[in-house]
Amino acid sequence: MKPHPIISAVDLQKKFKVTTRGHSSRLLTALDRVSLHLSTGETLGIAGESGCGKSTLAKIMAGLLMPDAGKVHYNGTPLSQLSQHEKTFFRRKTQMIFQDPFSSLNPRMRIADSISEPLKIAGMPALLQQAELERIMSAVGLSKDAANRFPDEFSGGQRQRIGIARALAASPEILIADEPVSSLDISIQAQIINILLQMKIDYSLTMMIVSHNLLILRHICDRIIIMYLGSIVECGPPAELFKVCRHPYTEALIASIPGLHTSTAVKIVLLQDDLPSALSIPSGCRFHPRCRHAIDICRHEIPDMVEYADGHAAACHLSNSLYG
Amino acid sequence: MTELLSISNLHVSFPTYEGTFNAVRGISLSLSTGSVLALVGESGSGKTVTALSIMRLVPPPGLITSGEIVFEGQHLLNIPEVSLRSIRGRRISMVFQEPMTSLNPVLRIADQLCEPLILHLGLSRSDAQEQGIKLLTNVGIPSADDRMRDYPHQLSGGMRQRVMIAMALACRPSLLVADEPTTALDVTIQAQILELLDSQRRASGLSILLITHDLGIVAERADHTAVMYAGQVVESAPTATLLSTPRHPYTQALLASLPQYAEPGKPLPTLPGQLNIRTASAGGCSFAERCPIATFECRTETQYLREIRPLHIIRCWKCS
Repeated sequence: MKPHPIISAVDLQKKFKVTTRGHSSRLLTALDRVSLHLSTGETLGIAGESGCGKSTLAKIMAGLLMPDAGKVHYNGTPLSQLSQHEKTFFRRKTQMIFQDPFSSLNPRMRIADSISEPLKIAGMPALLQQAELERIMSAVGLSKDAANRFPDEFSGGQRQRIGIARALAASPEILIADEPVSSLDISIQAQIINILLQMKIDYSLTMMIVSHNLLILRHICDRIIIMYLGSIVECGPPAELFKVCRHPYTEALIASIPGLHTSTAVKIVLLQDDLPSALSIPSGCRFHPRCRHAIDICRHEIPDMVEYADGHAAACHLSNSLYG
Repeated sequence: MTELLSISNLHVSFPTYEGTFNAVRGISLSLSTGSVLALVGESGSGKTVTALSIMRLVPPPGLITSGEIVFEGQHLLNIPEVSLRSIRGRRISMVFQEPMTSLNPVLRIADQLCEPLILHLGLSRSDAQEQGIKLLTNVGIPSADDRMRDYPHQLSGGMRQRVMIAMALACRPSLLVADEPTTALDVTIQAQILELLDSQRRASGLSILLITHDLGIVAERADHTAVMYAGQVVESAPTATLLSTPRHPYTQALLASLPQYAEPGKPLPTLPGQLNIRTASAGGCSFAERCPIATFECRTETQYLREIRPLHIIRCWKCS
């Protein structure tokens, strides 16, 4: 039996109004019919190019943005139907880590205050707070003397640790991380990845990690969702995606990762052109203008997600003929 | 292959309130015609300062205190500023990381692209315009004549980086310094840009000094690679050798910490701490405080570069 999803989303849709000078306001489709679920203890990765709606999805799942249509369910109940008390509980149990460790910390709060604020709000007695603070700080590898300093005294890697510590202070069930390591140097990146892996075990977290770096997702995730222009094109376990992907976009993304294919002679798939504007989404399969396999049906009909193997699904008309 | 650029024993320092900060401490590099030399390292390791030194563009108060840079037989650090102008943008050009901030936001693409053509090659305005359209087409920009009339903000990141490359290649330079040219871009666009640089190299014998922190890019594109740490080259070798048999503990640690070589879900091998340039440049081996095999001598004895096999040099006395 499949474990019960702790958080799930059904048919999420989000559009933003964009006003440019000289144009009447237009609608930018950030998310279109996105459904997903996270089982307890699972790590889900969200990948895609910039502008594909990854971050919007993360914010909606964390309850920080309201979708225009569709619902997020927490333990089976839609967020909009949670009582005030339950909503507070959900917010406490769902924590987020942001990409930019510079702008996500209050520059005027000492580290200790930033990290222990969730403890204070949870109503923990002051005496216990101190002990808990020290425990969390040492768990993410921050030294004790960091507590009384301000964010500007720390490097990017250290700040990301502070961000993780702050999220963990609320003892969350779900951790949503938006590009947690992409602004960091390689050696620091590995340190933060290790902390995330360790915390997942120690706190039995359910994690959703947004990243454009497929190699990092492959390393930490149980399942990866590939997004393109606001919708999901493929979803599956990393080992399978890297071995037999079922969507030409996934194929191109994996082929574009530098350094994976040094021995093979030439790169076969190179995507031409840029991501089309989310202001005018192509008809039919939204990937068709960049797809080298596109045929007539791709231009007119939106492909449905089809499950090919356990937990491995893709939305492509030609998946069967292309990938067997 | 002939040597196009050679940098020897370059030192660059920045005076600060807390004393002199030595950003580059005795770098020596050499690049031959038509090849790609990669400079790898973490932020603060001195990669960008090294690149800027080549064109004597180190921002004040930074100062090149000693060293020698020879490009096509000319000593770049000794020639007068005026003669340098005929080299910058003409013989050596540069592509920066951030394509948004390196283009002038209030000038049309045409104005920026034609400037080097008019200035260096003496073309007329209309010839330059025509040549500009050709350049944009060459770097894969569709409907180039329309794009010439655009302002930078009207283009996407990938397109802006293409424009930067078109500008850099406008005068057919012999050396292109590319400072993290694809860091701000998506992988699919990154692959296009790298392929574009490579095709230019094949077509015109362009040499590229590629600065990056992405070892994947290095593996794919560079002939020779130098790894920098705290303002020094710690290891340098032909790329294939460096990646398959790294000898310096820092290079080894960098490669080991990449997720592509690790077993999924397992902790990645990491280096403790982070690059602290002040303590690193205090004396002894700059990597000693993070090094897994450091001994007492490492903290006190200065390390010198030595060749352990042809073309493979390292700055560590412990590795044989």
